[in-house]
Amino acid sequence: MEYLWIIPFSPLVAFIIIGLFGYKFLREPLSGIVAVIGVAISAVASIIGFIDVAKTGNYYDLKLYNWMSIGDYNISVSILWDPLSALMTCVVTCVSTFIFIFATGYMKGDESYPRFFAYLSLFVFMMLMLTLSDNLVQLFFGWEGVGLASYLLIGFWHYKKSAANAAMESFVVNRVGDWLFLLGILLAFVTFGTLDYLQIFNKLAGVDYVIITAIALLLFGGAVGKSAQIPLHIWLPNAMEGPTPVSALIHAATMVAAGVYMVARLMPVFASSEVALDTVMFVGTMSAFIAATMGLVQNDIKRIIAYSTLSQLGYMFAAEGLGLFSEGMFHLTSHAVFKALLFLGSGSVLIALHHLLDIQKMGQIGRAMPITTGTFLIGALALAGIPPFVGFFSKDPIIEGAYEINTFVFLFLWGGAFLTAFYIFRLFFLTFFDGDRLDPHLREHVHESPPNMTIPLIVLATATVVLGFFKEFFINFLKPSLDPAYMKFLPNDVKALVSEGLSRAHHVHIEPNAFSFLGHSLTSFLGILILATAIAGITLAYVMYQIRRIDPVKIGDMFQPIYKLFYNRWYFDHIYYAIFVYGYYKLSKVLWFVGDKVIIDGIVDGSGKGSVFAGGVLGKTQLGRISGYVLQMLIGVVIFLSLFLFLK
Amino acid sequence: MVPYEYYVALSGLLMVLGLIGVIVRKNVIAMLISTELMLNAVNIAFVAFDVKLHDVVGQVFVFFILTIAAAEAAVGLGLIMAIYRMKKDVDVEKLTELKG
Repeated sequence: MEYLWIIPFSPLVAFIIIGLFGYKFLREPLSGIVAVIGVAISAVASIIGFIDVAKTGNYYDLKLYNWMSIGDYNISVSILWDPLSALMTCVVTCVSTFIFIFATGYMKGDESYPRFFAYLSLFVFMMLMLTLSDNLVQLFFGWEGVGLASYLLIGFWHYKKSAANAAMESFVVNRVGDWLFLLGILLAFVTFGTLDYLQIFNKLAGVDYVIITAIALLLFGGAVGKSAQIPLHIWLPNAMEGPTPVSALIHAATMVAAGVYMVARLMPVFASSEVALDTVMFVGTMSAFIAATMGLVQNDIKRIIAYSTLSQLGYMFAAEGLGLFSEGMFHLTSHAVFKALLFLGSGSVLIALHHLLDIQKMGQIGRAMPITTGTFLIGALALAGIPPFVGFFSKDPIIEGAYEINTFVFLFLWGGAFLTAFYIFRLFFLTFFDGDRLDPHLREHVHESPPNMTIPLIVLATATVVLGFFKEFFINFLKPSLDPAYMKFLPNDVKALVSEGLSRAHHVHIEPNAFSFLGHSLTSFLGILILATAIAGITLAYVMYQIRRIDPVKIGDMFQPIYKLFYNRWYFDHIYYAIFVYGYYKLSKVLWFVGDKVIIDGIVDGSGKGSVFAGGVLGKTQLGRISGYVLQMLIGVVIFLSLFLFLK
Repeated sequence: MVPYEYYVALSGLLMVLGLIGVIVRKNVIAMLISTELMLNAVNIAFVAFDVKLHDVVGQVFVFFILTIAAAEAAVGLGLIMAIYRMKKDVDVEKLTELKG
């Protein structure tokens, strides 16, 4: 398995080549091609590794390079290749490959074309360092690295003030989470004396419950920041200022899923603490529901999909909190595919409409762009959870599992499913069908995108249709990483502990086979209820925005306070602005006055003023008369002479 | 032979007279003359101690001082002439440019 080192370092090589020679030699098409080749190589390598793990169910822990030693513990750059990391790595590299191909079309003609692909390659390298890591330090390295790449790419068009601000916001909000994450790592090191996952898992059995809970919660704090869960979600919608391939890759498919991946990776730690699992569950549930309500009333095409990302990440966390880790990871995989598809579809629309974002000003562009419309429809159906698309097979098990485990969580996830279906089809009808609200000048230029943009759409759409039927394969594939009974690297006492932690999900039986799950859904009351909810959401969107039987403006007026609450995003931004931005500004002003104005300026100005005052006083002794000077000199001479004589 | 103490006493007397002259006189030329007086007091002291110590270095020094005194008188008078041309006066009470 030595060839696995190619996976992270191939994009790094691409980054270095483009970074050094991008502007001088490679320029527009070549730098994109180099980036695509770099990520394609790692995609092929990870698929080969994936097949190996799928056959054997083994895990490999490769130490590539000894980074530094702390006492007895060596921090190493390493690769932990087990089903979980193999799946995540495959998702990252494969989705990246298609998004890179799409980006070669999307970024056409941009003056910073090489820089864009250099950043993207850097991002993929960092993301792979994160997924492949076998210890918390390398994970944190990748974690910060993807944060940096995200910052650079959100602010890619840095001459736009809104983009620069959004980049800053995402970086600062992520720092809050990363600070907690770092504290979690430190506490883990103090507790276990090691940061390698496998060694931590081995030592779990004897550790105090409170400390495990604290470690898990602190690490989860980092995940809340990175995966944009409530209350640290505010950066993700604003991050849509970046180019659309960035939104698709970083802010939908991969980076924001890093938090979900991290929780799954450290499943034994989280499963050892009921409080931690409950926290994950409730934060995920609330994010899933609240973000969906925010998405209902937005008008920016990319922001709606961004809120949908928040909401779907919430479903993943809720699944993990419910103990359904495999279902959570399967939803991550399926979400990466269909959300990348939705984002790329919206990118295709933006190119056709010259970066018009407001869906209220679009309409009836479906006929001009058949491929984009068709693939977007597939993505939207998958998001809404309609069979046979992959979203149905990944989201329904979570909701059904919630029904068995926790009624509160079920109600919110169920409501969220209705809202999801509604908002995504509101977007779909307003953009591609409905009345003609488009500016006539733009209307003339609406055209289907070139093949290097449509082919990724078609591939991702195909994956969205097909992937769901591999549900059983994925669930079984993940068992050696996420099911305590099959985990080879856990000792028996930890297995018992983890199994006890996951006992809340033990009575849940979800059909692993896709066909029997479909059959079960169509016959049982619960399955029909969830399916009917999704269809009701789509129908309502159809009635309101396509045939216009119900006027959405009137509905908005009828529920004025709720509408305002949703439209203003539950006032999260306002509250944060009032407390942190304004409070920080006030605090800075106080510190400026006390520290700068009074103390530092006081010292500097004071020494100047003191000198002037002393000069004024001593100047009075200078009379300007020669006799006076001579007398002073005489006195001085006498004093020194007498001193000389007496002290001798 | 006159004992050297008398010479030293004379030298001290001349020195004090010169100092008093510099301090109390208002005319710049008079002050210059007082300075010459002090220089000569030093000369007398040099010669007197030479006689006592049977040394000649002091007497050589006296010649240097005489030369410098001549030069100093020339420079001093030149400065006084310049001051007089500027102020039409040589009264030190009115030359208080350096008053703080």
